[in-house]
Amino acid sequence: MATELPSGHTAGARTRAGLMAAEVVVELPAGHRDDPPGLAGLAALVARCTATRLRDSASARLGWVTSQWLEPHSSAFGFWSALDDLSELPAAFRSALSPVPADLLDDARRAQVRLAQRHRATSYLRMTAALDSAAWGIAPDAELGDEESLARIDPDVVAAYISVCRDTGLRTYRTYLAAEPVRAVRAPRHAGRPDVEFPAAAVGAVKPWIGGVVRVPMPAERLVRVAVRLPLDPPSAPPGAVELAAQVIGAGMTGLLVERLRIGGGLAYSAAGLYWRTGSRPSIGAHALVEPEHAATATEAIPDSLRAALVRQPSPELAQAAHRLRAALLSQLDQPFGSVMDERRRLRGDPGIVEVAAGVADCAERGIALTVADGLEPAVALVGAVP
Amino acid sequence: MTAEILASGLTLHLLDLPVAHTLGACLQVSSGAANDPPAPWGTAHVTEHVRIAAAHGPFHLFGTTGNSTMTFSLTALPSDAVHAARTLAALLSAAPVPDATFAAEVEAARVEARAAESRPLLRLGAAVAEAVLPGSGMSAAVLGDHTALGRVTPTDVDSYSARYLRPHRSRLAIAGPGLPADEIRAVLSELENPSRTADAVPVPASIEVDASLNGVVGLALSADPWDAATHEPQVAMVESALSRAGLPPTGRGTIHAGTAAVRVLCWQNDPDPAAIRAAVDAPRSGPLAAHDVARRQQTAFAAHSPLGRAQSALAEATRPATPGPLCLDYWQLKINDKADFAVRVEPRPTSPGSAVRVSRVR
Repeated sequence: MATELPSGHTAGARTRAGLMAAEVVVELPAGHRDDPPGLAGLAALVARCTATRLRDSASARLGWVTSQWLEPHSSAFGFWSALDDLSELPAAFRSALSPVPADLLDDARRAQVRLAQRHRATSYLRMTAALDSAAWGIAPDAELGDEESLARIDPDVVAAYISVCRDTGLRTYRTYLAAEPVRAVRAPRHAGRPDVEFPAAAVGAVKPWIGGVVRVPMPAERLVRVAVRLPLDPPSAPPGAVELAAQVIGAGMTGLLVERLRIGGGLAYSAAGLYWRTGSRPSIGAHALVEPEHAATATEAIPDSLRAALVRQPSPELAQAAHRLRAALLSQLDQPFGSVMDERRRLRGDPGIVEVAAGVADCAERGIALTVADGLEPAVALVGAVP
Repeated sequence: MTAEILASGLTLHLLDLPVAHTLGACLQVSSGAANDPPAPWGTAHVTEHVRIAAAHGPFHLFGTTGNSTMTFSLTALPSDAVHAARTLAALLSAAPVPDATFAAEVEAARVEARAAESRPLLRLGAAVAEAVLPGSGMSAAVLGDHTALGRVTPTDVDSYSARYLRPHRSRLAIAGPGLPADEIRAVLSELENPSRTADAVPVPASIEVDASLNGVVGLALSADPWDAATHEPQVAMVESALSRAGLPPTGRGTIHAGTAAVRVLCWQNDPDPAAIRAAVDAPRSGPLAAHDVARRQQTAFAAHSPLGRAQSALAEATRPATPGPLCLDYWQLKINDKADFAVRVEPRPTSPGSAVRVSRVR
């Protein structure tokens, strides 16, 4: 069975007896950091309109499970089916990714404004946005936009954006899960067209680390989220190292920060390590949710825990943390969309999950030796019941 | 898949998944919030937290407590299959925890409860479910609010564990590649034989519901026994008909207790009750098969991961042989001048209506 892909190319796909699941991801070449100036929220709006039309199409009739990931420089749509019926996908996607009538756009715009309002009321999301703002100077509402920026997005703007996406080229990734090992098929780009950067990519071009403190008062909140993020020297951070250090800081009921703030002192309702491999350098961080009177204690404890996690010798505790982390990483492959998203990562030049898990095992044996980038300030976020 | 009852009374399901990278394991105990009395409401919830805190090992353990079940789950590397089985089996014990740990876990449970209490429709749904199926324990979980949790003591947790976290009340499902079945059985055979105790009798519920919900109308779809494969497509058809009629519910949720379940729909936007009834009663176009396809896809999706397969195996093992009929009840929340309120359920054609008297409004 040959399948025509959104790019116009075809990919061979064999129907397999005993198929467990078929997964396809179609990727647009731009994400939320590629939104043109003054049009923050454009990528998110196009993704919303496309997803709405897909829900009303064959995907609904056939019961496909769909998902959508809006990333800084791409927008991906996932399709999952246990019935090996994704041959109808190309036509459904071609129809969904097309100029949008004004009434659909109005509905999407209103829904996105409501979502942005809910995000602004969610302290965890405000914290992650505040950390990005403190670290890279990224505007806090950039991903979804606001009423003003969304009001500037009319059907002509959306049509032009879709046209540029199509001209630049969509990518498709596909995996089958069955008794046999996973197969992946990648769609070739348009023949003869060199790699083209999305025209607005310069807007989201790599930004230098800034550092500093961002406070986000949320009067309705009773608690405070304290978060600290440190920039790392890339050469000290091979695959698995940053991930393992974040695990050492805190994950679930274990970790340096969890022990100090929750189990040891009962000061934090939650605490966890964080890591990022986006931007110009990897970074590591941690956050804790505390009563306002404990915010100062948390602000001291978090950097202490971070520093303690950067350099670790091999030990039974490190081995245990690595063991937990490898299970968590490999379980991602076993989740729906896990294998196709891993294939996508590898084809884009990033390490796959198996490679990262192997790196974690290496770090458990050799130890962790991360170094903070010289001369760069930490990024700090205080969100919630902040005075 | 094999299912077997071990000497301890524990039911074991082992599922071989050759292409998986990890294993998933799920322990389900047939006791939940409805078993709290005579201990304070919330005892089961705190017990779940304390049992996880007492567990040692390399695993992230997750727990949930419902009205009638308590579930613990984990994912692990395949090489840890025996250790995972031993860790879950150890939850069926009354291992003590330090006072500081107990206090921390009560606080963590209270944080969860406060988050739930900020969603008033959750409590209303439980009140409606209790009104539709009185005495079934439908409201037990919401009764363990942050105030009630503060009254739970270590003695309450120890008593609950000793009485209810027993092998004969439990099923364990493990799904993954190359499971060492004999070694797993050997570990689980070390569990002590239980002393069987009778279940506590469900206590009639008294729930506080937010005053802003006065006048809310809704529809409840219930069955006892509930069978997802049979009833969910039927419920989907009703909800689809309501959406097509321009009457999508503004709130919805499903409450489970024992073998029964109630799907509660509500409208907060002053709809025309006659229009709701007309949409529900109208001949339903479109084949039930379409909703059945959607349900099959969703079921397969939920069972994609090893943990999902383990959870699916437990759900399949407890499917009723004969599902109950799906019953529809129209209801409304009424608050009187004294701020007492009741969920009034309209009489069904074949049986008298019922109403639950509930405590005063917050």
